[in-house]
Amino acid sequence: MIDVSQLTKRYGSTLALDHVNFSIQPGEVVGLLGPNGAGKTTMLKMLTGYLPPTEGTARVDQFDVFTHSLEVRQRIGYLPETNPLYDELAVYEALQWAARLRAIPDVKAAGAINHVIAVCGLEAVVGKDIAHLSKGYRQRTGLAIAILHDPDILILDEPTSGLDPNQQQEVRQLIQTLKQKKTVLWSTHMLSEAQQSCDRVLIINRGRIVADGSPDVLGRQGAGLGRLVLELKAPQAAAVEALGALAGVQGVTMQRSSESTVHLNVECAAGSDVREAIFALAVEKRWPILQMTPESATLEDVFRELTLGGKIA
Amino acid sequence: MTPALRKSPVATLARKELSILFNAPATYVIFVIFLLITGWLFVSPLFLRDLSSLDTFLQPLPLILTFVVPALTMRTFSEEFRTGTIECLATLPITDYEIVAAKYLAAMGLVGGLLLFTLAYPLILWLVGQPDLGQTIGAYASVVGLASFYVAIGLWASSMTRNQVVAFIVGFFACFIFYLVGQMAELFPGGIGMLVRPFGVEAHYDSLARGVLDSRDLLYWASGTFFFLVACLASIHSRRWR
Repeated sequence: MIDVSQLTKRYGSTLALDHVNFSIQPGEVVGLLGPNGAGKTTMLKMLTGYLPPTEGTARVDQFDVFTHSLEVRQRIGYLPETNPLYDELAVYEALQWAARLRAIPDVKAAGAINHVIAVCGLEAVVGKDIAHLSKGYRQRTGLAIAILHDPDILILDEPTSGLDPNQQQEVRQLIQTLKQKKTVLWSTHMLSEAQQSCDRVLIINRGRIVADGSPDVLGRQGAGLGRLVLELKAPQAAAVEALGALAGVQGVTMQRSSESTVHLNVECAAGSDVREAIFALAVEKRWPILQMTPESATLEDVFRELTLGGKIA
Repeated sequence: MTPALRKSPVATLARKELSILFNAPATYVIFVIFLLITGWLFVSPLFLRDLSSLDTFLQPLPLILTFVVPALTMRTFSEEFRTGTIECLATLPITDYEIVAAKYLAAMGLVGGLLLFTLAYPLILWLVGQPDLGQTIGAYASVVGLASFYVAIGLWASSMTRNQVVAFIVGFFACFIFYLVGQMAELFPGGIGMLVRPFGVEAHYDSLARGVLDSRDLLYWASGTFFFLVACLASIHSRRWR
């Protein structure tokens, strides 16, 4: 449905996107994650035909985004990051205007407009000028315009940004209802929402895709970077020293100690499982283990690891 | 949904644009100022000097419109850039030239609306005398040509910046230069004045306003309008490549 090959964008000497490659299959809901300035918005703007590439190609539904821009734009619904809307228009007027520009026949337009008003929960504000809407209703209006022509592909740039938690939940629910029949590519800063709502996540950093997979798979890959929470009956200094000397242990940090008990976080090297070695050490030293819990990496750990310069094994 | 057969969105865009322009309070301020000035120019000779002629209103019009038209068109693109709605427009299935055409038509609609009010002046002349109908029609054709040229300049100026005031200043100076060229032609030495004068608006405006229909004048308005609309299109394109 979406194929991106060697997509590159330079703004002067700044490399915003660096030879990016990925594909998205029909029906997938893909989250685009990355820190500010990573290139997410540039990527989405290029996929919608708004920005031309410096190098590379992007195809949407077999149409090249740049040579067949109109065909692509007819097939996608796009919600830009800043959700720019014409403040002078009322909500219904804006939807009518978008329906005409989308060439929705007049006989179908009223039905399509009423449908998106219901889906996006805009009934209470249809007659209001957009200038007087709350941020949540503005976002819903932008989303309603994006889905008005029932596109196969939705591209949403931070659709929950700036909304309060209730509004965020409403927008997420709305996307959940849409995802059953559409391909959705959305960028977000909120890792929890990507973990909940996306079939797949792409993590982008400094213009490059640094991870691509389902949130679960990425979490498992990240588990190699995991840590053990350890509670031992042992002398503090000796325990830290002995555990730190084990193969596969990258670091030991003291959480707290009470009388003869120490609570430690044991950071493990990628791909290594040090639980048996710790058990053997505890037996040898006669340090009873009160607790040993592996902490699986979350998408947030993976994201932090990748965007702060590390690598997943 | 299968994309429907595409019909031109220019009329839809132009209608929306026109409604936004007519919703702006500044539009009405400009209308009132323009009508006060032109009204005074027309009425004062009529009552003070018993002179019933459209010339008193028509002759200063190229200068008055150098202010009025850029003031009416300054927001057309700059406001889209400032608020980001250009991204909305540019990602809808609309080509850039359709956007420019729609904005041109809307701005012409607005200026046309303004000029409609001035039809009161020839109507008053009809009540008090027998003005030449051909000359009146020629005069208005000339004003429409001039307005079209200035509107294209105003759109181009607006496409260059996200600041409305800058758009107004650039538009005003560009229009004023074309006004000034005709006025200053006589000051140029030798045959240079003859070469320069056709580039100014005055030569083309005056002859049509006298009721003389010359294809060179029509070509001047059409080609000038076309040139600045193409420049406007190029300016919009270039913003994406920056």
